Amino acid sequence: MTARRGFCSLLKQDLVVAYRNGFFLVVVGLAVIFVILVRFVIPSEVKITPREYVVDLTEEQTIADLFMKKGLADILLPSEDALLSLMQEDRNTIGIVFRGSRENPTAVIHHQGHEPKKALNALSAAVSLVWNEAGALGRPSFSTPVLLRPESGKLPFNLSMIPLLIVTEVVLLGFLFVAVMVFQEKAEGSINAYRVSPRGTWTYIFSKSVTNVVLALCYGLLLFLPTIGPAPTLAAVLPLVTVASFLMTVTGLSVSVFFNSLSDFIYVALLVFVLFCLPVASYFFPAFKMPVFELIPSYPLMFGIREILFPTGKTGFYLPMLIRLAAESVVALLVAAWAVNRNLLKEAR
Amino acid sequence: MIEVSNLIFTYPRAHQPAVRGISFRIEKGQIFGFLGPSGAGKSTVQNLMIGLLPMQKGSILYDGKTLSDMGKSFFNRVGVSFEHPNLYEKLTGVENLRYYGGLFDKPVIPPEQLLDMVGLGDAKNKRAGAYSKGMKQRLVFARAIMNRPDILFLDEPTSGLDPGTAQRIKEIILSERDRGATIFLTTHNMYAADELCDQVAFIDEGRLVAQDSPRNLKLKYGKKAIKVEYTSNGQIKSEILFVDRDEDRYRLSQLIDSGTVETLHSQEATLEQIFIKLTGRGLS
Repeated sequence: MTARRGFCSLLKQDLVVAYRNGFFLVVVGLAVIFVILVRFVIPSEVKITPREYVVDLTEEQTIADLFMKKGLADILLPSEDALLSLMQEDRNTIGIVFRGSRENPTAVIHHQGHEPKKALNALSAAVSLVWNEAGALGRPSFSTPVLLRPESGKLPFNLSMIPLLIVTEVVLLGFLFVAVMVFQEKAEGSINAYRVSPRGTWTYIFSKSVTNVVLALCYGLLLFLPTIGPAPTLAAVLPLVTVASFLMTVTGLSVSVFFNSLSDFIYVALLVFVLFCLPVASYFFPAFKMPVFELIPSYPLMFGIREILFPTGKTGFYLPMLIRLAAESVVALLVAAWAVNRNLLKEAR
Repeated sequence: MIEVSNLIFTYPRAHQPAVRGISFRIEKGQIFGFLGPSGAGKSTVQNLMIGLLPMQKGSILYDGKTLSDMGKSFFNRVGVSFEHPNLYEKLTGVENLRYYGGLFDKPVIPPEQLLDMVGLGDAKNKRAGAYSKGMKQRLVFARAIMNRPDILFLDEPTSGLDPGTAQRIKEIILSERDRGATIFLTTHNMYAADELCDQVAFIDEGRLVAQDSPRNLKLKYGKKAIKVEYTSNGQIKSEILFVDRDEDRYRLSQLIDSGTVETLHSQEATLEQIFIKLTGRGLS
């Protein structure tokens, strides 16, 4: 009971200090800027140059021969199933299936749905040229089906930024805010007063963490509601934001207690930030995915939020992802407890 | 009762110990003054006593128990006023006290009452960052006594205060003693120590060089003499007369009878003079 009272008192203090430090203002400001960007600046469609893959299902296999002669064997796939499977994996691909014969040339252009109309028209023209070169006797007929993803709709580019923006805040601000609070307490010496109070390491860590989680949730709501709207998916996103923010806060605590000022810490902070942002590359270019990226906590967070907001039919991913982040948080919490106790609360400096 | 035995402490990467075998005992309800110049090891001893530095050698017992025995709950019984004001500068005076008070497992003195006691009632809603050094010092002092501590550690509590405010703080310290608190007063201000302390200990280069009541130290190291200023042929003259010599006692009565005496001063040693005598260096 008294421990809870102590925690509440420290939490109130941390929230007031965070408010007076302008942390809430930063969070609101960033959220407003990102909402404006997402809603009014970033287009819902963006021109990208997708990779094309070809399947030759013609009677004479003339198309495959043609591509091999041109040295383009690497874009040939053996079957339509292989093509569709690859397209499911990589959103930056387009598949062209040549069918029929010279007398009755046809082509199917499978696309993801987010490609601009102009790009598809240009591709149709290019496919006609290929058929001509292969000796087609008439104009090919086209169909351009959108790749079907269960439960998936067309993903507007601007909204696809939301998971990225949420993760950026949780990672960057969660890590930095707690460090700023630690350095402030070191500079003021107020940490010494806490050290001779009846409260200890856990109260300190949890107070800082909850303060940061509140900031992260404020940001998440401010970004989510004006862009996605009050969707039921919010209920799934908020627990992820909570756990991830906690994880980043205790990580920030673990690192910052080894430094005496923000200027000493900033290089390490940048390094950590770059590390945690590496999965962004995979987000935009799925082909650019190294296995090690999946070990970085921001990876499941980013793709998890995307899957929640824009489902592609994956099931059973949410709970394991939440458990994984929670398990990582527990490990990070133990490290933080050791670091805070040893470097912040134990020895006079 | 606090018992400190054979305390030795060396800072990491330091060549010599900062504290070298210090022992003393503080009785319950006593004000114990720890006097020494800057760098003598006063704050190191205090930090060891409140657990801010890890023990290396020696022992510190509070009623027979170590800090480890008592854990964090020990700090419910302790108040600490630091030499350098350490406050949340973004919080107001009253907020600093309110939130800190919430950390204790027992009722505390209401912040407003404390602020009035130390003369900060009018500035309670001002941010601590905007306080003067003296105001910050008073706020830190108020924070130290808010839990009605059994043991109070005060590091230079009157440093940087004007005489009126310093007097107010000294009165509160004495009232804390009268309430039953044991007070460990670290200072290089010999006048404050003389005025407040029941016992004083001199520390120099990490060693204890003397410990006793201020009165006993003065008797032991001072001179039983009186300085007399008197007028003679329109001029002020002075003489130092030792009260344990017959001829000087006779001379003193002569001067008093002559009606020319202007001033009389006892020549007991000040604590600073005793410290200089013992260590060869001053307190400041």
